[in-house]
Amino acid sequence: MFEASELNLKNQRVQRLFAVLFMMMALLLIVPVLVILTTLVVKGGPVLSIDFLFTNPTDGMTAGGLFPALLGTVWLVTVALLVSVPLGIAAAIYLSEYAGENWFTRIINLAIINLAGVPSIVHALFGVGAFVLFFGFGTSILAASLTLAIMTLPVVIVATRESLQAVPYAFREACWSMGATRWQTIRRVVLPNAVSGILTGVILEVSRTAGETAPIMFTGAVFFAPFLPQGVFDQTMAMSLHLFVVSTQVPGVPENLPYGVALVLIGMVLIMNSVSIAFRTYLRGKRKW
Amino acid sequence: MSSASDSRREATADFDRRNAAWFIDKAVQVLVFIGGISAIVFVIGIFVFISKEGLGFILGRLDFAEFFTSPYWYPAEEEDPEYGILALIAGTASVTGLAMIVAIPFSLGAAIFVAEFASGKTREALKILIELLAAIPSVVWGFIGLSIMNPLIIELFDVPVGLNILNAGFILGLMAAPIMTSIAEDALKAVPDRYREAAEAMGATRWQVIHKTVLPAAKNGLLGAVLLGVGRGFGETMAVLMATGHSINMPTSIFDSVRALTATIAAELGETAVGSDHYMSLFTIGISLFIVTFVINLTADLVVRGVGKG
Amino acid sequence: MVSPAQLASETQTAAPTAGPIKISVKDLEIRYHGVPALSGVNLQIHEHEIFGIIGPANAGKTSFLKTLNRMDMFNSDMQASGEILFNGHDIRRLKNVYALRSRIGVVFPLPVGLPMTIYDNVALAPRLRGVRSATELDIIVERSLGRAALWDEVKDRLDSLGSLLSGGQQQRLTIARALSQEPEVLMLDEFSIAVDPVTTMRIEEVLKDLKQEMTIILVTNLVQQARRLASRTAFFLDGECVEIGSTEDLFTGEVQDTRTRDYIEGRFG
Repeated sequence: MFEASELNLKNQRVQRLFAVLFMMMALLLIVPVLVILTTLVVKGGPVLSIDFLFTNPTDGMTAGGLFPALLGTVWLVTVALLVSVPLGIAAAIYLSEYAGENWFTRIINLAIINLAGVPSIVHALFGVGAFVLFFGFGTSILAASLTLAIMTLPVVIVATRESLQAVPYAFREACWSMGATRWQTIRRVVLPNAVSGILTGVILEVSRTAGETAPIMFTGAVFFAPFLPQGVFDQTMAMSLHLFVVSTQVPGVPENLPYGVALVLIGMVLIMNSVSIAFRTYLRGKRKW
Repeated sequence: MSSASDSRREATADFDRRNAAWFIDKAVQVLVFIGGISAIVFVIGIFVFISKEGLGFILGRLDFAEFFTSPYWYPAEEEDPEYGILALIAGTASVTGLAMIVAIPFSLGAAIFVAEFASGKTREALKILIELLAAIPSVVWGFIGLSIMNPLIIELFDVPVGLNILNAGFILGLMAAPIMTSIAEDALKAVPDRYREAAEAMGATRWQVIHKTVLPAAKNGLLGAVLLGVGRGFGETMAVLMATGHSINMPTSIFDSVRALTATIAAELGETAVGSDHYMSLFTIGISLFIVTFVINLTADLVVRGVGKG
Repeated sequence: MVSPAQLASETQTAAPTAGPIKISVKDLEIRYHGVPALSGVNLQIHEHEIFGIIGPANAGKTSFLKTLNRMDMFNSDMQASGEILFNGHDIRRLKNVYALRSRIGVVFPLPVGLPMTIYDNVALAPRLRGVRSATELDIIVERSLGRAALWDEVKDRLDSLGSLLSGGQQQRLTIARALSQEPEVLMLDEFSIAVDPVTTMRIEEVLKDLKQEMTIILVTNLVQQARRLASRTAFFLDGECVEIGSTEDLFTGEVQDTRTRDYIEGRFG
């Protein structure tokens, strides 16, 4: 019968060693982060309350709540979505349904990768040069949102394109051979079956947009605004910038306050991502073909 | 029968007419094409608008040699401002370098674990965790560097200041790792199963299969992951702004405070007058960053496709 | 039976029950990446006939069908030249190619149930035509499903997903969709490949009835199926239309080309 040879046993031992090693490496990436997050919760928890979320900062921002920042982030994200989602979906439809495999398409894809890889401060510079100055919007929600929209456009494009391409080609052929135009096919068969994937991408985009600081710093978000924003040409505070401000720009801040702000911000982001992930998992169970 | 088909044929004689659906389809074709080229338009736009703001400096005051080789960055000096970014480059490079030293081995290890060893629930859980980690905003990481890592480093290593290369490098490593792990894992998963099956059929253990067959086959994708991680490190702004301290100097140890290129722009732009030399010099740094990350991304894309490298 | 050369000069003996010419093909050549896949095709298809096309794989049969309803438009590697007339219109110079396709129904080898309700599957073509009234749609859906021999099986679950039906049901659903277009021509490309023999028989009965209202082009790898259904049959081989003739003639051995007899008798496949 077969007996494990010396060599076999040694190989098995080496293998187990490596398996454990890699597992440790994975853990070592995750554990410090979990520890850090726990610290945030422990130190920031005491600050949280309904008041904290819905009142204004007081005493030169050393006390009070963060409502204007929260509202500002909502403004920024909403306007950014209004611009990037239609544009992103259009681009993805072009790439998935119309574009051929040629150099032009490759350049578009390269442009998308680069848009995603440009440093956030460079996006800020672009926002200043283009929207604040050239187009004359001034430092405003509009300028900041447009900057954010361009920065997060790749997220929507990639998520949408993938969900469009997941729809089998045979469905399109069946529609075309009945005399449906490309758009009729997209509208009636392809898009409806891609909506869930698109939604996942949009939620992801929201969470990224809410966390960005550099692109809005010089284009429309300010350290302190005396009034809540009324329109897109107003300046505003924002959650991400608020964290930066209370942790570096304000003297005499009680230790827990910045932790509270960080906790709210990271809570927002993690909740949105979790919703997106949960939605995706739920959808995987509901197969339609 | 024939009269029915005759009249049918008459009715269809002029079937070839353009209707509303035809025109709508053409209109949609134009609209989506505009969407498609928007990415190209924006990338070009970024380059154009930043160059425009920095043009005065580039054509006027800029001295290429001084800019890239002098460590003296004193743009606000009234008398004799100096615009050397070497120290800033060193700041970016040292922080990114440390981040990569931390992140690359661990990302690779984690990716190998998730792709080759973990299964079912563990794998799903790990992937979700990694995805959530990647979502943590940069400003939160900067805050962590300031409030948690700072005192930790001061205590652990008995140094006076905890905002330094070690601090920023470590958190940058933790920031870049999840993304690198995802991409590396994709690269490993992309290696067809038959490679593994062939090796296993010859009696190799899991680990031998991996390091003799899968890793070499995936090396393009892995290299791409590393490059993207480097690009991310280069471009990171808020975290390095908040965790590297504020002194501009050529570092000699990881406990030195430095200033990165991105952080410099963020820290100083608000204090400059539009159109001044200082203002334009910051935009010039911006263009340099744009070009560098463009090249890194282009290379990463080419490498992942297997062009150029073996 | 008539050789392609004689056809080119437009003399043709048609089967007795056939009507006027529906589709006329002259000097058709199809190339992929410049390499010819089918050349020198000349034929005419008459109204109310079932026109069979037989031949081994890669003979060019599917490519031929694709050019007839301009589905070659979606494949940039494919070029076709020559003249194809549909009801006298040159289909390579149409203003609205979608109008052409709505008049030609197609059934592919692999069944496709669209991921919508069975009702919506069959109502899709009428809706595209502009039919809005629910009662009218109900009538069309029931009639199409009935003629496709699927109504009885699905009439109580019209709102279940078409894409989750069995293979044989999906193929009949495809036929129902094609019929809901009220097409002038119905093209079937090896429809029975993924379908069980019983369903195949049922569909063959359907086709025999349908030919009274439309023209049918039947591409098949089952030589006996052509014999059962088609009044005239063309034999395609290696990118060439070798021979066209009345089915009876071909099968009783009066062929122009020995290759035709060899194929029909199963000497190669």
